[in-house]
Amino acid sequence: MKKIILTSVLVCIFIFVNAQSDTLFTKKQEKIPCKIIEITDLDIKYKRADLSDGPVYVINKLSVIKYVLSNGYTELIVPDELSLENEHGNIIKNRSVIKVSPFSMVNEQISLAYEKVIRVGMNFDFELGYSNSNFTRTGGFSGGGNIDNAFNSGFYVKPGVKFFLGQDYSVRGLKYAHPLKGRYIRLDLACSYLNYEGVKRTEYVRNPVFPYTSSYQSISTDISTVSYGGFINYGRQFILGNILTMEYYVGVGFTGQSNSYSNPDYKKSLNPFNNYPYSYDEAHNIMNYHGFIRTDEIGLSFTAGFRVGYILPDRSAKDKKKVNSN
Amino acid sequence: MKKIVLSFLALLFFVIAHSQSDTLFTKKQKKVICKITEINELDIKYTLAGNPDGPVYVVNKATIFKYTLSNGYTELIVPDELSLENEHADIIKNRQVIKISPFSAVNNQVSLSYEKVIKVGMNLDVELGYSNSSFSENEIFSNWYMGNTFNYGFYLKPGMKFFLGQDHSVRGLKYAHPLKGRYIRLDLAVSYLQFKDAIAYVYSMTPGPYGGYYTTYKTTKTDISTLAYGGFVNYGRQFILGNILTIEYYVGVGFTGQSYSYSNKEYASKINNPYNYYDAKYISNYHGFYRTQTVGLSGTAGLRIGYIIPVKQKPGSHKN
Repeated sequence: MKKIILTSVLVCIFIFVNAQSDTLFTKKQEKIPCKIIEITDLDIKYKRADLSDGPVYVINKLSVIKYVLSNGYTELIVPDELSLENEHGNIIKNRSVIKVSPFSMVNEQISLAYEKVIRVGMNFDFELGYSNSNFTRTGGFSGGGNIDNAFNSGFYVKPGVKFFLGQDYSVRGLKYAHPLKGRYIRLDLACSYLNYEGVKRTEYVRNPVFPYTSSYQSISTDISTVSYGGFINYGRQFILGNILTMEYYVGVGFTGQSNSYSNPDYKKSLNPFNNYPYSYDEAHNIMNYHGFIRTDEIGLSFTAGFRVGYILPDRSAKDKKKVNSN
Repeated sequence: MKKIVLSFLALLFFVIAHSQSDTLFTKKQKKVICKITEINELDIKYTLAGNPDGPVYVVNKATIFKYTLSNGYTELIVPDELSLENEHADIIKNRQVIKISPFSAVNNQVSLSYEKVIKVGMNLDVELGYSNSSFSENEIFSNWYMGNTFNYGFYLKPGMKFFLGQDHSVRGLKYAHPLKGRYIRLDLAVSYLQFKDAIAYVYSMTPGPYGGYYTTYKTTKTDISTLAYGGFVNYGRQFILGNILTIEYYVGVGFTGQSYSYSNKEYASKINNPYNYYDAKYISNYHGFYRTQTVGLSGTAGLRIGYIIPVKQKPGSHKN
């Protein structure tokens, strides 16, 4: 009997204390019974109901949905629509993006990229591309010579890590607006495979035997080529309407190259008087590896891009909402 | 007896005082017994437990690991992951970098640099380079008519970086890290190059048997040693990547002098006319910099990637 009375008294005290206290409802879906002391433009100051002698807590008004005072007065906190402080507050947990390059068809290629925040300031970025010279049938540019006229297709991969540049100086309270937004340096590897079909060369060949008649003769081959290397890119990414990203980048790097001919005789001249052995090694001239442009011999390579992305919603947030609604 | 009672009372007072006080645990492993009066987004305000009528202390929340209130309530302080205020706090004591120039092979050279913070805003920077014309088949910036001649050498560029800071200041404005930012670097430069078997084609006009002249030429060979030395003013910017690497670019302009000598004295006498371009004075690519002949106006540029050398942790210290 005593126990029941004690429990009832405790419940009564709890109800009484809570009934006399105010309540804050935060965006993290916390409910804080407290005594609100001050409400300013930017902050709300309160003391926790269970710690009336404890410290004054100051919470950013932007992280509160509403508050209810002990007399029943309720106010929804409407964020300042002009505020840039919490511009991307709604998508701060959305940290992965799928991207396409809308103008890549100009270079006979399509690409898909995926970016994910590893930790704030450091993102993983992976791009996969497919090229096919029949996309626009404009001929494209490979490196000049006979290879420009041959059908070619291939793919490339570019895995890399983005490092956001932050600021040279710091001020108290300065923050990243969003881990997907800002200027960055991306260090990435690149590997591109291309296959040229029916590369055809025509030569004016002189018959070495009397009467030395000359004629045009052709020879053809398929060429497979792989280029691989590393790049340093500078870029900037923006967030559009808390839904999309848009970014540009330029990069420079070094690449190596290896080639193989289905017809090894292609490299030799058809003309018996011409013994210059490498004059038709056209694969060396291939420059356009679609993921990048490569200069002959030195291997100095360049890349640039413009990508538009869709910010993937955070799954854990969705799951939480489901649990709460249930 | 009195002593025992007094000691007991003192102990009791101490226990009561401490049981009614809060505690701050700092990242420097200090334990502060206090009365916490306010906790906001950036700071914690408190008065010392031993001096409740004393001043209110305000401590940056980022320096606190956790706090415990007198009723036992404890909260771990989780740093704001988006904060740029403490972006490089983990490496703020790491103040040395070793750097390479990833694209230097384009100019047939390799280099290694070392940077060390002397005081915030002023860093020592030394670059040592080695050049060899056989590194790559093509040399973009060749040395005029001597571009095809095998050559090798080294250069040294000791200098001082002065970070530019800001034209205006705001309370609380700080350098993010002493290795980061825009800078002016003043450096000296000395470069030595050795050319092997440089060939000059010396043309001469010979009277023909039927009047007029015809041209003949002879070749002459020599080794050339050359030294260029001077000073540069560079503008650059350095970034920190992932608290591990640095990346920097710079461009610079300066003046350099030049001296050279030929192993074959005959070579020098034969090319000693104003129309001959085999003269060593036309050597312009000194790898650490590019020199215009006669005037000595020189240019330099670079892109360097560095590894931030971790400072040795003192025994007993820990990271949070």
